[in-house]
Amino acid sequence: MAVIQLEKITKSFKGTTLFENVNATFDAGKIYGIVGHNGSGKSVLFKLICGFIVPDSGTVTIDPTYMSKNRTFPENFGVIIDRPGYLPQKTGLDNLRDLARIRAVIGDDEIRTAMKSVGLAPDTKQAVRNYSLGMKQKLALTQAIMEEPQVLLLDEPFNALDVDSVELVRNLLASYRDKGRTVIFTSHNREDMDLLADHVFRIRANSLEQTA
Amino acid sequence: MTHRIVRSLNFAPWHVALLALSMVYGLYLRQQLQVISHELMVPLNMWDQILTFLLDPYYISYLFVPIWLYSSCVSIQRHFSVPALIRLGSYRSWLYRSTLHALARLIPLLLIWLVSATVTAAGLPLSIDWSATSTVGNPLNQVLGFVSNHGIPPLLVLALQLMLVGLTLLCLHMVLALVHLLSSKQVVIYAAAAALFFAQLISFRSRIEAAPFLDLANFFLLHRSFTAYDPVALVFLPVIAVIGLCVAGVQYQDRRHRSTPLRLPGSLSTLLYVGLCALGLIYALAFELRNEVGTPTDVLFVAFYGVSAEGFEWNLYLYHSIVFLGFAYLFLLVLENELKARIYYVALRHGSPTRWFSRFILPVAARVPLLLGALFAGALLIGLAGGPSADGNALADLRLGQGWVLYQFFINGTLQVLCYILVVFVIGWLNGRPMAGLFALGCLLVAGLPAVNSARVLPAALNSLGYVGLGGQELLRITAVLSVYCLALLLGALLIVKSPKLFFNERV
Repeated sequence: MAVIQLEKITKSFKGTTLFENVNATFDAGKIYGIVGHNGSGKSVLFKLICGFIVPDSGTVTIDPTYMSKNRTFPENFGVIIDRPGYLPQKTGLDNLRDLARIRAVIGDDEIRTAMKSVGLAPDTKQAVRNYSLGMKQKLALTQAIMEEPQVLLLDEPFNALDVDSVELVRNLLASYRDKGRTVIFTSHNREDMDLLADHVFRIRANSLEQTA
Repeated sequence: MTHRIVRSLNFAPWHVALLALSMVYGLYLRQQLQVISHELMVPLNMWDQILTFLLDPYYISYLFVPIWLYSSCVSIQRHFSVPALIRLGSYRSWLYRSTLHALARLIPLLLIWLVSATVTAAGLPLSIDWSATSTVGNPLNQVLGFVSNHGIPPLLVLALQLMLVGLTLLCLHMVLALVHLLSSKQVVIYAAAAALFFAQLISFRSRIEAAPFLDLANFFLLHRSFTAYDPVALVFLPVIAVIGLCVAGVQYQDRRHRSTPLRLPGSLSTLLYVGLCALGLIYALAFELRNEVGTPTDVLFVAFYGVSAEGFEWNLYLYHSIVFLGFAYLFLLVLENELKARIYYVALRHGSPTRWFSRFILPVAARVPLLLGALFAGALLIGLAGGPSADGNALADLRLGQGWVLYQFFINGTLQVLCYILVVFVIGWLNGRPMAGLFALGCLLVAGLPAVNSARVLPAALNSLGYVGLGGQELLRITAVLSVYCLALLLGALLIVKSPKLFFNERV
């Protein structure tokens, strides 16, 4: 069964149609790239998948492994969507601890490991408000991956990263695929798509076309 | 920091002229004092001259304040520039820097004032205590006669007066800086300075007894502060509050330009909140001691009196609002974090909005009885430490006794704070902006006034201990009213949480 299936999804906001009769299937063990111009609806697509917004019509089906009875949002998903996801006055580690405490499946050691895996120093006393843009992006990535989710939805994960960090994150995502996990990411960089994505979808004219 | 201020002190040539003028005026005041001393046939000492000068309304209102306002306008405009702002990084930093510049201007002015007062007192007997002239009650010597009656040594009066004037002037500078920041027009800042000048002139001539915090003279003259505030230390509260508002206003301006949240840092807000709560309890103790009656429970009663059916005292209502609406404000800060920064990541981990809501709101709700318990314990401890007897007889004049006081404080108090929290949640969430929550708190502040809420049907300040006098039946009715509001707001909150459109759509 597909991990995520979109069937005849239509979504409009205040008279502007973003998606009309969109169909797509995302399987396990693959990396999917989504491209589209600014404002085309890439973040909205992720929010639809997560259940943060409801389609006007059509259905989003998530593999029941990730949707137990009492859940509105899928389990074992790691996401980066347009919100920052951190409290600026706290350190990176404290921010991640706050989030990790909710599910309580990982402890400090795993958080530190995840931070190191994207090139962040876990024990710095620096508050997040003093982080550079790239560090904030790494923090967002860490919150998405730290609980070892089975599905990753990453909205522009390479933004603001330096060359080395881009390489690091590319390897990380590739390792997720190798472990049979699903990654869906958006990017404006063709190289990311060419190197990483098994399939590429383009959002064009209110539809989602598979281009590769 | 101190070194920087000392290095940046600017003694300009016009300071010499001001010193000369001040000396002449000081000598004139001394002449007047000697006439009084002669008429009363009692001796003077140096404090008569120094404090008469420092508490002289004409010197302050016609010389000191206009010089300050004008130099503030000039300084603000000089230091407000794009290159400076780029280097400072934010309007808030600019305000702090501008205030530091103001401090560097203020210190020479205060020194000139103090030196003139001291030099013109030369030859009078040195003493650490009030003179006989000061302590004689006489229309010729009203100001010092009044101040000396409060049992405060003259050196402390001197320190308090200088602190009060200094802080007030810095506060006025910050107000002008904020005005300039918001308007960026030269004419507006000078108009604001002129308005402040005339406001203080009027205030020196006629008192606004109903609203002492609007009476500018109370913040320039310690003897006026003694009349308006008891204990007198409370006079600093409105000044600090205005400074806080200026900082918030500047943060708002920063937010408009770079989407920074409108709030004080969480830890600072909490610290300020706890400090204000403690200050209020100490004030209540002072009130009780002044009346020479009371028990530790009475400290609680005075502190949380709030409003009554007959009316309200602004200072009691202000404290009541700071404690209870202040708690809701702290909740607003937490809500803002959830609302603006993390909701997707937190909600995803909780699995459903309902679960998120219950785990978010329940710990906050659990803290309400803890807050009340802490305030109760604090009031009793401060009461016991302050010395009122613990026999409990002083509540006998209340129609209902301690049982109903405790009922109103704990039961209706819990419901009232829950109500505030839910209002902030519903309004803030529906609107998607923390400003809406602040606006709601402002509306609740007004709704709590007895004139607005005479029927006691609006969910604001209904936990005031001032309502205890209405009887147990009325307190039970208040419980019912607050319960209905809490339930309705809880239903509203659940509706928001249950509807993905309401829960997320605002933030798409």
